[in-house]
Amino acid sequence: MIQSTLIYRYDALPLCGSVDDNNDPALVDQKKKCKILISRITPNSEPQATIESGEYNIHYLIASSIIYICICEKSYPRKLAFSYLQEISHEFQNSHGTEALGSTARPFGFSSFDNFLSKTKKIYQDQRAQSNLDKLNNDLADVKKVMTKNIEDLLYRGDSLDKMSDLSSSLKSDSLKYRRRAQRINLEALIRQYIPVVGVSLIFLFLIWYMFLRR
Amino acid sequence: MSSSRRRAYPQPSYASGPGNAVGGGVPVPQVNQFQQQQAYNGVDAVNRQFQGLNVGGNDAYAARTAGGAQYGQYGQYQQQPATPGAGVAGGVSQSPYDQYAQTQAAVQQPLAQTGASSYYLQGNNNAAAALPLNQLYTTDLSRELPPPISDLSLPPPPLVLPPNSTLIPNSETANASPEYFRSTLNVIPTNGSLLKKSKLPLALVVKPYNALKVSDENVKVTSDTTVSRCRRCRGYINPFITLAENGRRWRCNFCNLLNDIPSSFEYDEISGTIKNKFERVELNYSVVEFVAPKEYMARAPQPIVYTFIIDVSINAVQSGLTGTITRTILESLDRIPNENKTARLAFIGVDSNLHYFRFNEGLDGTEVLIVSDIDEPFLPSPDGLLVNLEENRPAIEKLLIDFPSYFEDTANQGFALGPALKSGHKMINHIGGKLICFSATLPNLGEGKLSVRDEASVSGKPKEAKTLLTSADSFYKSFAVNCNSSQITVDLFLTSSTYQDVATLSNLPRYTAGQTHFYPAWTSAKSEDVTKLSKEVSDHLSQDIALEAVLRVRASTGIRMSSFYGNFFNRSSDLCSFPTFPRDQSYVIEMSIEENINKPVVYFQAGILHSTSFGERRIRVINLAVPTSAKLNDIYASADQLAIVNLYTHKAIETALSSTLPDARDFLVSKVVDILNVYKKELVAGNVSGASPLQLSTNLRMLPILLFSLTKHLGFRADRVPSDHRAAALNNLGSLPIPYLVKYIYPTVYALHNMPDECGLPEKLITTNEETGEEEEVVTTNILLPEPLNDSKSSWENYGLYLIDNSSELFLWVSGNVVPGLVEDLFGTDNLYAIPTGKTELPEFSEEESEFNFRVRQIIGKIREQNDSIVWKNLYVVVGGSSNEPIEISQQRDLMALRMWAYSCLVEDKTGSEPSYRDFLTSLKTKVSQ
Repeated sequence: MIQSTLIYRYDALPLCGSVDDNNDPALVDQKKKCKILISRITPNSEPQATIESGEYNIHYLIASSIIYICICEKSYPRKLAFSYLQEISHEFQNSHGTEALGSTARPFGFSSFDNFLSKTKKIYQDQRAQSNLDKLNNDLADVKKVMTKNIEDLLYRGDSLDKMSDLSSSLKSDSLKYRRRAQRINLEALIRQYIPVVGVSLIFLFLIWYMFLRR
Repeated sequence: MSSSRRRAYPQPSYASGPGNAVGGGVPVPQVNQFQQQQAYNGVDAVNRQFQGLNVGGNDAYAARTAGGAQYGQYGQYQQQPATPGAGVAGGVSQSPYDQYAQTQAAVQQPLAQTGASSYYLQGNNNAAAALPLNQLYTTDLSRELPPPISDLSLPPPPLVLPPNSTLIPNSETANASPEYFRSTLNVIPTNGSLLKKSKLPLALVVKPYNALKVSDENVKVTSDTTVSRCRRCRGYINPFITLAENGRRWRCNFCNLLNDIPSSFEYDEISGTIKNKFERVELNYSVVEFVAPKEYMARAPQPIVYTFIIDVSINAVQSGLTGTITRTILESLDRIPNENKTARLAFIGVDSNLHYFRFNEGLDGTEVLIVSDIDEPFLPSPDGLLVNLEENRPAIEKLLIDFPSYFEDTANQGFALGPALKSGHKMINHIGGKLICFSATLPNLGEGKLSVRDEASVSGKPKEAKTLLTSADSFYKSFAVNCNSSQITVDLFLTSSTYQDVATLSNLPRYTAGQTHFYPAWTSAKSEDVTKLSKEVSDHLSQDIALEAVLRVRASTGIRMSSFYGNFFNRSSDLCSFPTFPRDQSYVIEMSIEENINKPVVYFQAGILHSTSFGERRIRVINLAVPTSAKLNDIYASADQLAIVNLYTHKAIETALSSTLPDARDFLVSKVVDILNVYKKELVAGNVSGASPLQLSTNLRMLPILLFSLTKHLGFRADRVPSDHRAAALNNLGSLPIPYLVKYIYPTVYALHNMPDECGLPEKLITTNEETGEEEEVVTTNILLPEPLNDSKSSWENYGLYLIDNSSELFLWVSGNVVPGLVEDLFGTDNLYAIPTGKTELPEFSEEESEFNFRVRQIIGKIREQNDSIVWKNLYVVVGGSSNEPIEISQQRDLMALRMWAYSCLVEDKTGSEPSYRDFLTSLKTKVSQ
């Protein structure tokens, strides 16, 4: 079942969000993750992908600089989700496409599109409805190509790179420290090695002086 | 300059420019002459001037000084205004304050050598004087009888600000008009002890909206989504900031922190054009709306939702409430704000069961689903209960037409309001919105069940307030707080003919920013009742409400918001939460002075973050700048009596509910005594021992009569009042905006029998045609009203016709000895005792048939017409007593009660056990002399 739908522009400007039936904190959490996801999307990103995130799957589709996201339960067929995204992207493109890319677009300025979202959502609600079965059966939307990733990988990939660079720089400073310390230890070892020899030879010299020069 | 003057306008801590450092004194404030002569005509002028200053500055020091002077209102100038006309060239002072000015001239002398500072200097010699604040005039209350009621419609004492206190010089629109934002004191004391000594309260009255519809209000909206705020105090950029560092940064007028000017103020990235930052609306207007960027949205703006909870028990059906309401909703469907076509509606019918209406979305026909389990109410269907208005319009219309017929033959006396509210909450809690309840029955089933309270035994006794006016069931308050957190507002329309416990039920709207509307003994058999209810419900539904709103008021450092009054929930220390923001209420915020204020002007700013009814997230910001003074007479001369009355009304309500009604009345009287005492001790010139004790500044002279009238008001009077009426009156007192509140406390009376000929007709203005020089008459649409009279029988003639407007009803008083011709003209009959009395309407005659009738109706129409309130006033026709009236008339109990009711509006007279205003003044004399 489709829980929530979000439409964003490439520059992370929200255009429309569905009015959702439940206020489950887990879902609210997913929406927050979606926001981070949007900020990570670059022109080189996959045009469509599924991201596994906890109890939910996040499906997204990018069409002409607009990102369509839906949050579904894990059990909801991917094919249906993408066919839903296709449908809303066509409709949004037709009704608000140019307006949404203009400079005057305001955050959530297309909330009237929610009417279409809720209607379409209802059609896709029932997985067994005849039309939906047809959609499942035909291979028009070949979602096998769609990449699946885990949200953790996506969200924390950047973080781990940062962590790597942190690690390497701390490694560098540590190694410098170790080098200095090693030099000092070497010196100490040297001193410790030669101190007895020097001592014995001094005593020997004293004895010689005592024995030979006293007279 | 006297030392006290200097204390009043001390050197501000932040104005420590190089000039000050050298001078070691307060810089002479001045208006730049150059600027004075040349009316501000756009930013270019200012810029040119600035450039001139900078170019000429070959001396670094001078350039810096000049720079310090120039940026945005010339930081220092702002502190002290000049008395115009004392300008002298060359640094020689002729000002009356010569000693001081000469010092200044000496300080400025070195600067004179550099061309850069010539403007500065010219202005500088424009001798300085302290801000001429409002003058104090004293009035003897006991000689001013009857009180001059024209004062009630006067604006508050003007706010005297230094001429260059705004960023845009001499801006007319920089300071909020009193309709939006007014302070009880238009001169703020510089420290807390002075405020305490003055015995005047310090509070702000905020009314963020001044019309029910967006289109009736002209509020500027920013062009982009840039919201520039101070990093420390989070204040919004406003017309009172100052610019610094070549206009790259702005100094917050609340906390003095320097903030960056956003690049979009100067340069439009999208179109690549350079913009003029001085043209931005937020720097020009005191009331602006910022379009909020996405950071201000916790979730997408939600659609507007109305859930109608309709009483369908036998009381409601028989009184005609169910039928009237469904018809009214049907007729108002087009008026519901629905620009986006996203509005959603739901209907629940309530008796001892809950009746849900399930729509087959997009298709015709509805199912009625009845749930009789009221202990654990549940939603009988996962969808189809809350539906889109636009897409289900035919089905909704059909339901509303059929609705009364479903319940025609009911005999069900139960009314399970609590469970209905809970299921309504369940239905919309994921979106938020409004629960609108129409009820004609005391809730008598399920959670929140109420019972009739024993009025007879406590009425008129001190414990009346405790037993009758407090909440009888904690369910209502806790449910209201729940609703608030899920962004739900509850509105009540109560129409019972018997006890309905308004006191308890009104908790629901109070904490959810809703409103309680009370129609005692309402019945659809009376067409006037139907008109009133349906007009008010329809206007209520058509308001352009804002959703998911929060209000926060900021003030300059040293001032703290201490208590908040009005219908909302105080979520954290200073954040007021409104699930939906109504457009017909006002709010009062009391303040305390925590630290000494050493600035000549303090600032207040109200910010309301909200989503509009068409789904845009916006912030409405209202700014107010108020001068300060350390002198008691300045403070008294600029006190705003109407705002003070508004605050004391709230405080008296608080006292009544937490203590007793007599305590509340005593509180009001003691406030008058305190103020008179302070005035007598501190401010009466010479302090002559024989002088009348009842002296007060002229701008406060209506305060005693207003507070005195308040003690006689329905909500506070000592006579027996049905507790529902009292609770409803207290509720109104606590939410009405000032103009309506004043009328509610001190009703307006018009004499119609002797009104001038032009009254009641469209106002004609005579203007002179600019081209021809001939005088032309322009007919406006504004109906001219007669001058109001005092609320006292002594000003009445026994043959007169009077109209009383107490802001909830209109009384047309036809005196007993009225000329038969007038009765004939007005009512179409010459028998005074044959005219219909009580709640009625006048017969309608055209202007040709009876000019008098036409004019009276025009006046009534004008009084009823208001675009910032939903209240529709019913007209009551009252025939006054006379010595020759037939005995059967004088024995009519209805008429007697009606006369008593109308008389109770005449607050200056002795009514029942309450004293008259003259008696009150006499009793004050003894209290003050003590």
